[in-house]
Amino acid sequence: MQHERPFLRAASPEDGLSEARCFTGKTGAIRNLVREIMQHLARALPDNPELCCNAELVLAEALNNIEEHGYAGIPGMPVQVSVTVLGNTVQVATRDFGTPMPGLTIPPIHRPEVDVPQNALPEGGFGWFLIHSLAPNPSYTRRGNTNRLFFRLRCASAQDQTS
Amino acid sequence: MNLTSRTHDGILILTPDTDRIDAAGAIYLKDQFRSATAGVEGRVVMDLAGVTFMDSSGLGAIVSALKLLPGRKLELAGLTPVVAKVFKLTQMDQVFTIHQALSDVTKGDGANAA
Repeated sequence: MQHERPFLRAASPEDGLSEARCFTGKTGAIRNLVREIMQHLARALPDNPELCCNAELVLAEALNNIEEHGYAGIPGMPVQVSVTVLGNTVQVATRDFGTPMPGLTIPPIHRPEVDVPQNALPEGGFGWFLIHSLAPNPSYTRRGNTNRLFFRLRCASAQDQTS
Repeated sequence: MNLTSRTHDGILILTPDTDRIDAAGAIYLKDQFRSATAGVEGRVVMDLAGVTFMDSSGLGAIVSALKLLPGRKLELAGLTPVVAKVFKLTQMDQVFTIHQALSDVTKGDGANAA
């Protein structure tokens, strides 16, 4: 049971920085990790729910991708996440030890085609499109046996309001 | 995750009993949807007002549910901000009939509803 819930340690709650890790394959482990991180983020950004919800989507998509593709669904594999808040910017960094991204690069922007007959509608392929939409220019590096993803999200509407 | 179902004026209304339709829950949605809609020929509406988070796996599950109704529509009601954003960004909002709230469906169906 001790690994059923992710552990989260707030490096510095004041500046909204948090680090967490969990293990794949435990039912709902990724979901619990995202939930716990979002509780921290909501406290760090009480006036910016839209930025929080964008970050939640990006985080969930990235972690699901690691679990399903990087680790091919193998249970018990570690995933590390750090989330940092800098003004109106949220930075999300992940680290895992799964297989490298194909071509050692982030998949290109591709919006699944929806103007097709009903029985041909896509049921997948939305994850990276959502990430690209919400966190432009995501980055990926592979060093040794480690994959690192980095995302930066900004809230345009909040910026408009303050400028 | 379970889908609870009820019928209102011949419309089948399905409500997920979860606030998240994500990778962990999406796999159950299609099977639940298949059993709930078996033999149903009228309108089918999924009430998503209680779903505060949906990711691409959840979206994929809703699309797969639509495909279980060949040649018909799957109507969705009560999309919360994150769910609405996922549908809009992927342009899936053009594929489904989307109602602001379930009350729009139940009111609109009864022509002389008070």
